[in-house]
Amino acid sequence: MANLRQTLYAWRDAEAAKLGVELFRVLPNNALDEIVKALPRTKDELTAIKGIKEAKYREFGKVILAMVDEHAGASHQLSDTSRQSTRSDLKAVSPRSDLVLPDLVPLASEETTFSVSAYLDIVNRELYRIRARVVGEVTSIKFQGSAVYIGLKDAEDESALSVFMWEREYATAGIEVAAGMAVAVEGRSDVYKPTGRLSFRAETIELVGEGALKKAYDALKKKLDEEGVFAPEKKRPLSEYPERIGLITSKTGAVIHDFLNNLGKFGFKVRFTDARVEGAAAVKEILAAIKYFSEEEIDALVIIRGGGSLESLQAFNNERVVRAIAEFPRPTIVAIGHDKDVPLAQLVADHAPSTPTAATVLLNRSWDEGVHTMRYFIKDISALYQGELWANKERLGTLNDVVRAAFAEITMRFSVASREFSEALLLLGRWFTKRGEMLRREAGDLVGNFHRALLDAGREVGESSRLLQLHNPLRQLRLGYSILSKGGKVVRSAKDLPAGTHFEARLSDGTIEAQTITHPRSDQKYKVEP
Amino acid sequence: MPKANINLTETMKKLRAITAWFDAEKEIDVEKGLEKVKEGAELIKASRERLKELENEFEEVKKKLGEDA
Repeated sequence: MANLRQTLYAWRDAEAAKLGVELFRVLPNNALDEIVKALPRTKDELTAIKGIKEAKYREFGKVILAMVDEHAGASHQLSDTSRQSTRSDLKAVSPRSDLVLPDLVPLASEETTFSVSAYLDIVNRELYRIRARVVGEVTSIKFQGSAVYIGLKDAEDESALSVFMWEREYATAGIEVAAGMAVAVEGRSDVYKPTGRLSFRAETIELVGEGALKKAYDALKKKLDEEGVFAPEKKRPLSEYPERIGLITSKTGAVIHDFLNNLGKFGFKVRFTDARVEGAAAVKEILAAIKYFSEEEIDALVIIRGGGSLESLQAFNNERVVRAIAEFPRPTIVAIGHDKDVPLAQLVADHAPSTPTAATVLLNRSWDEGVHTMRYFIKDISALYQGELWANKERLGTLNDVVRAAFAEITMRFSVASREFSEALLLLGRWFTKRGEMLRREAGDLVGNFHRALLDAGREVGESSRLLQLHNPLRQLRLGYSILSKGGKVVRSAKDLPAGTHFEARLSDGTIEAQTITHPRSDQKYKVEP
Repeated sequence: MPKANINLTETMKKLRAITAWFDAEKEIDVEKGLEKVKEGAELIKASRERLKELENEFEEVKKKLGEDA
């Protein structure tokens, strides 16, 4: 069974190469495996296999059935000597009959003879097993329709090899091959039956030697630069908080681990396609992956690869790859480790971090910033509000102070007034006290004076009474004196007592009535009548 | 699954607007300020929900490429 499997795969690969499409576009691996398992012999059986619908059947059905038939037939042919029928069948069913010849046929006896065609079929089938990478110097290059013919010669001994290539695949390589260049081609040889010439069917072609590569690199860089493919204004910013990532790299490299390990845990959804990242074949796989992602909903496309020489990085200096990145509908991040010459894929990318780890930094950035900003918001908003509250509090405080100050002023005035009042009161009190004292003192003086005056008066009275005593007329009377009076009036002159005048004479022990007898003279004597 | 349906960019913009509002107002109406703070708290809560540590998903799509007939 392994035989049929090998046959089918070889046919599929060749068919895809011929049509210039991805392998799965012809038939996916699992469909081929299914055919090997089910060995369909009819259309119904074949179309029952997943992946093979009516359209596929129309395109490849007969060929596939023929291959299966052939395989089944070959098992019988071990005992069947009829080669003719086999050959004619082959011719009828497939132009690539070389691929479906059973393994054991040519290994039969040496006496077996072949027709030219059958022989070449056998040769071609055997040649198909030898896939190789061949390096040589270009002697000629010719374009003819959809084919490219390249003459290669050995660098040492002039050995020559004719190389055939589909123009489409040549274009994919993205290089301008000219005579004298050293190139490496990868593919298989076969003999072109109509001419019997051997030619190498190259699937990929690439430049060899740093010098040539550098030249090609510089030329392409210049050309794309002039077209404005690398223009800074074309660079698109990475969307904030990218989530869906399309990742293209090699599954086997270390960089994929670096990338995944350094990608922050922010719920990224990484969709990954494994692609070779070295050698000419890488171009096709990278292109297929870019094309795939260009139709997917992603936030950013990431293409990463570890460091390498110009030669190993050819795929990233490939014109078609560069253009595919330039035309990618969403932001691109390309991180390719490199020595001196920045891979053109990086120049064209929107973001070209130096390492795959740096690519994760780019993707993490807005998330990290988000986390940071959020902390800032949490602190800031409450702080701002608190600040406002503080400010309000302060304003209230200020207002309070103003009111307090106003009151304080009033109180102060009041207290001044009250102090002044109490001072005045005090003064008044003191004045009263003083006045009181003065009064008391004055009163005392007054009493003293009065007392003294009284004493003086007493003394004077005593004196006076003594004087009075002294001068009392009654006392004189006792001494013999008498007082004469007439009509109650003291008689002081004799003239007042003419003769015959009645008068009174007071003596110390009584009064007598008297009458003047003679007319008084100066020494007249008074007759006194008792 | 996270509340991935919140638009972080929009949310951040709103939060920035809130802080800007605080910064711009000379005399803040305390009630209005409180409203803003509440709104901010809601936004912050939703954003933190989305920004917290979350496992990444990884899916290889090569198979799909091969199977896609």
